[in-house]
Amino acid sequence: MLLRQNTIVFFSLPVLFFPVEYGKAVNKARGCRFLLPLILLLLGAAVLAPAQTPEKASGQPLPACVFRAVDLSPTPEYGEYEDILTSMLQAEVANSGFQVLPEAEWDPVREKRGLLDVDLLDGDTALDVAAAVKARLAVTGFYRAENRQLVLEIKCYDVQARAFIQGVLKTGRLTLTMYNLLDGAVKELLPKVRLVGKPPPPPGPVVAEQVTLLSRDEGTEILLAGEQTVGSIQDGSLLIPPIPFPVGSTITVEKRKEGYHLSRESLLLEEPVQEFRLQRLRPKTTWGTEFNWTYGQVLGIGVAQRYYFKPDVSYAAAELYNYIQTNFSDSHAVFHHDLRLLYGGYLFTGPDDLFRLGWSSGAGVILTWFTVPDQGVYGDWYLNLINAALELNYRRFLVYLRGEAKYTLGIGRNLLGRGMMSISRGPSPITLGFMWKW
Amino acid sequence: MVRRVSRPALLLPLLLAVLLLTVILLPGCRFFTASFFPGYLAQVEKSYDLESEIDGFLAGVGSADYALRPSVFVLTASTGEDYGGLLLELDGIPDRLLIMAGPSGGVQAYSSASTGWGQMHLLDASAPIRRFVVGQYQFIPGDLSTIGINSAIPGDNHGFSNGTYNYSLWTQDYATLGYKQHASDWLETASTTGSVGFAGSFELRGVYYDPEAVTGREVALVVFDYGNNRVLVVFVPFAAFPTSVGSLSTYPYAQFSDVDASRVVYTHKGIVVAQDREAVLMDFSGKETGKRLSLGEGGDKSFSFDIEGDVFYVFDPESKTLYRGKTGG
Repeated sequence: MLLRQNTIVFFSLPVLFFPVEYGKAVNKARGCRFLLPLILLLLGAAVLAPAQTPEKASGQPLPACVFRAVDLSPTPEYGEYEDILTSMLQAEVANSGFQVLPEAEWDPVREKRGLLDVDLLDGDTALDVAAAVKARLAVTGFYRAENRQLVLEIKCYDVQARAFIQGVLKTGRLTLTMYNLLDGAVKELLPKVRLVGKPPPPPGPVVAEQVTLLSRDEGTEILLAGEQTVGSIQDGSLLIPPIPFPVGSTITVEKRKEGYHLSRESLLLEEPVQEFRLQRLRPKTTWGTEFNWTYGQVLGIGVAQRYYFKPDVSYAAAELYNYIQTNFSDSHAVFHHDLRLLYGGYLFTGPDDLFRLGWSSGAGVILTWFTVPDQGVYGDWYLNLINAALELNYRRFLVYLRGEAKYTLGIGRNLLGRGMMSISRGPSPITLGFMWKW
Repeated sequence: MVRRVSRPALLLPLLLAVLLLTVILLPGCRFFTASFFPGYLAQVEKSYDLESEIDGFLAGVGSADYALRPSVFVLTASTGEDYGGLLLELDGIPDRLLIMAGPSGGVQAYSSASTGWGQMHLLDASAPIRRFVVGQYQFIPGDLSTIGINSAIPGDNHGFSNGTYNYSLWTQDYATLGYKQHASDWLETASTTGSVGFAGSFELRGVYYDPEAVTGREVALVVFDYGNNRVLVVFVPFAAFPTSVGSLSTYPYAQFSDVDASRVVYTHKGIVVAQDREAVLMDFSGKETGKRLSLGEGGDKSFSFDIEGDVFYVFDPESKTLYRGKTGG
């Protein structure tokens, strides 16, 4: 934030000091020759605002060794900027909270080791000299001006870690655009320099960088939070556009496809790069063909056809159960045909749920005839008061257990009279069924 | 890494089915015979639709709303053919309807509001043709034609015949049984009384004569113990009739608690007792043999068996049908 403020000052000052003939100024090379030192001074002034301060544990600023900037220009006419650039860097480093060591401390070491200023552009050499004076930070730099082009390089080193921290290399024309050049160099340099001597910052939240959804339901539209479409499944997958979801969070995707039930799925982001295999969509069921088998009517089988008024929600069904009654020993089989019509639905659960609680109700008649002759046909009309079913619900079929409560009406020529249908002994009647959805 | 959302295993429904089958198969073969319908239907060899006879009778007495009290019995002719008998009583009025069903499928119905009806039913010792007796009425086996009332027959008593004599039995003062021997024309030839011998109040509810029973157990008396709400089936030697029966407590017996005495039937194979909508065959000590016949809903249906235990008759008041079936092995 402070750097941004400084930048504003940096850009505003030239406007104040050079309010006229901006175009002429940039076209005059000679003007630039005087302009550059002034810009550098302004840059130095611009960074004088307080900034974050690297400190020792004791609270004292860390020592920094800012070596003289070196003029590598082929001609000596730009040599005068060495001091200016050096001063600017010293001011910059000091403004960043370091204690800039005076040349009197490190220059004797350089001389004693027979080194020139240009030798300090080598990182190891600069680190050796800075270490000798117990500096924590070392800064080197050079510039080269030639054919109205400027090349500027600044490097910073962590002396204690003997590590290169940051370097900037900028090139530009010797015009007013050099403001941007220099400002950019400083911007890039300072943030990491200010971290020298500080404990590493705590890790910020890691975000999911790449989330891929895999699905066998080609063409399924994917929405996040039920609102924002992020694409559709193509060739079996969808790469979600980069949205910085924190790792560890859960996102909910909504899946939509014509002819299928809308479905939502929660996905836990555990890694920055992750793939999810989505559950398959449930097709909307309009028809269902059942086969079932009932205790109390075990020597037989039932078939039923469901038609869903609302897919997988409410239906009407016609069912026929044919079975034989026999006692095996010296017995004559009796045939029963149970025909009924039902209306049904579900409680509490939706088409996506693996387990569903279903109900149905209706009416029917059981026709009975004997294999011994001349016995006639009996008809037991009944109300199927309620059926309660626990369904194991899959995409294309379901399996269910169903308890049934039937009340016979005792009308016409019947065998059961009036009352609830039940078996004399044993468990309550229960039906095991299978239904194919289509 | 691909994160898979857990998918239901296809094994689950299979496991459920196996679990279900395991649970319901445990009781054994009853699993295959369990039915909402009465088990006797699968044993039926003949049925008699009595709707027209019963409706006609009810129409004759002026109302179809009378509660019917049916009782079923089996009469076996000397030829060995069995006949089903259904006696319908109506609460509050003396009218009775007797329906006799023959092996050929024919049905004869007799109704009367007068005297002559009673619980006596047997094949008597009449000569040269033994006759069926119901109350005081006598019928000719075969065409079931009625001879009429024989006032010498104690129609309100229970009775049996060995083909030479007729015997009638009755309860006296809830503690004593009376025994009479009658000639083939029902004239009394001997009479005596004997103590029941058990403490409490008793009533005779049935008599069965089984000439093929273990010696000394030819006559089975069904008596109801009011005090203990139990039914005793006492086995008395035929040789003791009529004058040497004495106290019943000196004879072997089987007892059944909390059962309807009118639905305890002696057969040569054992004693049939109605329990929990089933006719259960007990041995002569009163223990279950494991053989049952489901009576279905309305388990209070009237039923009876022939003395051999091979044939049963069940009356279904819902369909007004009398069923005849074989018990099987």
